[in-house]
Amino acid sequence: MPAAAADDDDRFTALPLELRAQIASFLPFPEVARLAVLSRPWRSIHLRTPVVDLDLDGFLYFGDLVGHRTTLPGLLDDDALLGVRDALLRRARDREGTAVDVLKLDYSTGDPRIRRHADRIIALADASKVVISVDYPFDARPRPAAAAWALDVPPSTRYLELHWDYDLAPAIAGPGAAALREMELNHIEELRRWPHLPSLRDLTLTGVNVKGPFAPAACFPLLENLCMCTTNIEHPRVDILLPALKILHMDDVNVSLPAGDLGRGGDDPCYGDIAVDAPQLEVLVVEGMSEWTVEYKSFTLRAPRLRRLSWCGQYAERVAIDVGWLGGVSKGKIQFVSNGEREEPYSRDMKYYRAQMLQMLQGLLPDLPPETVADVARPYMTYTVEAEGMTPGEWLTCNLTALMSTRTR
Amino acid sequence: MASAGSGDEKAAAAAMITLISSDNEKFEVTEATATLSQTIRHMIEDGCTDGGVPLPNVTSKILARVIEYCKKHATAAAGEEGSSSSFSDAAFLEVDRAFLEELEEFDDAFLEVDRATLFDLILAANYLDIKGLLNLTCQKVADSVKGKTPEQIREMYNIVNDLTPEEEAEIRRETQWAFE
Repeated sequence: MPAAAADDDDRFTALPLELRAQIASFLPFPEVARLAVLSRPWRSIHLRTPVVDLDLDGFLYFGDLVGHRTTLPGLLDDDALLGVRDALLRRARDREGTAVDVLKLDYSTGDPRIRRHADRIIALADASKVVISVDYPFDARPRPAAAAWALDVPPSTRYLELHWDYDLAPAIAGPGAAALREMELNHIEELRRWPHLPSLRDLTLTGVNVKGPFAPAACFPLLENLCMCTTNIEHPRVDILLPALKILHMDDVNVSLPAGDLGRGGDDPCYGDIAVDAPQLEVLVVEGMSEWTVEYKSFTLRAPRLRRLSWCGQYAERVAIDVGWLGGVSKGKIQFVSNGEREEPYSRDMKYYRAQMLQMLQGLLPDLPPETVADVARPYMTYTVEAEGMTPGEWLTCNLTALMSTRTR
Repeated sequence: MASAGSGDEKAAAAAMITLISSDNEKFEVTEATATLSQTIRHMIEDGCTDGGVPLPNVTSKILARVIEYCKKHATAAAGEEGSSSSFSDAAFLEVDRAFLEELEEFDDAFLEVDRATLFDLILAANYLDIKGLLNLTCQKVADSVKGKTPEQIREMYNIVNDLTPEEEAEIRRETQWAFE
């Protein structure tokens, strides 16, 4: 340890460049570049930060006029954007520069010039992790055509995260698409065509509206983790057939009629047939607690290697669980809530949930005669009624961890 | 639980590790606390912690603070370990929201230190490879310069501008895009 530092020492500059670069990574990229004039040791700081964080709208002046009745495109500071590109080019070429680990890019899509710059910046940075947040001026017309939306994944990129506050999902292509390991898609109004990502291991969809069927197996042959949150699939059948899938998390996954199809009819609140066929699946989490999520017509599961199951709230008229001839689930729970007191929007009686739980348990305990399952499971089921408090209602829970532990002994 | 390494029974659950600061003060901590540091974790895995772990780069004053941080966060880290995927694990673990909030408050209070201590903590977190602490402390410094002009930052941190006017002009030309 060096001798105790005096208060007026420059401790900041005394840090190794690598640590100063790490600190600067928390700043927007233009602010990082401004640090370069502090003193000689800071000279190339903007060529060394692992993170490059850019808000391209900051380079557009009077851009807020875009999309209103005026056709004025706003003043784009091309020189400044070329300066950014030059810095990224130097990082890629100069010996004093280091590769970009994380590229965070924010921009509005209203201006095609900005998009061209964004595409160049994505390619130049060639970051291993790319996070793109796009929003669209709400009243801008006309919106760009679907065909124009292609995102070229650079060769080094392994992780891609899109916050796409915009109608259409981009086509995901480019030299890095085949090597992409993780992808997160957020807030996409229309996902029509699934990208083909042969190396993808993790996929998270949040607030995505899928127009049409779920992804065919060929799109994600190596996918191991799939998480879908508040996601809607506009198709009566959802077939999740993924040969390498190990973990599936469905949190408020809704199924709806394709837009324009009014054929649902009747009083039947249930809709959609979900079929999961995943030979490697070990963990399944299903949650359907929001009023937004439809009750399924059926849920079919074939997962001979399933070890953990957590199922909360989601109703399905028919549940067929096939976990192999012995059933290896050892951990988890099944839980239902019936808000008996509350009418809206619609409350299912607990007896239906009881029937569903029994169906599920029969699938999980395939070696027992079906008529004995209820008796075997009863000691591990709890039923409580909460009349007051935040969430009044009836709760029915089966503790699978406890139930299964008595059997494997 | 993902305890470090060997089948050695001694290395199991309640094992204690002795950390020795640069000024030769000894600190007894649990393995769970110590292994928040990747550097120490690797030492344990390599079986070279008998007789204590000397940390010649860390003073007792700073080490005490670092241990305080690790103790608080070790309980939180215990839940994150064990399985590869965090999002699905949440369904099987009872996530204690109150504790997470408490942890945030702890972090905020923890950062209420003078500048010299903050920089010492950054160096210690880097040396001991404690990712959470390094991010926390680096973020704190970054926040302090956010939105400031180079002149203001120089003044805040006593940075002496050793660039010649010509050099400074050249850098400003090169990074002109950032000054507009």
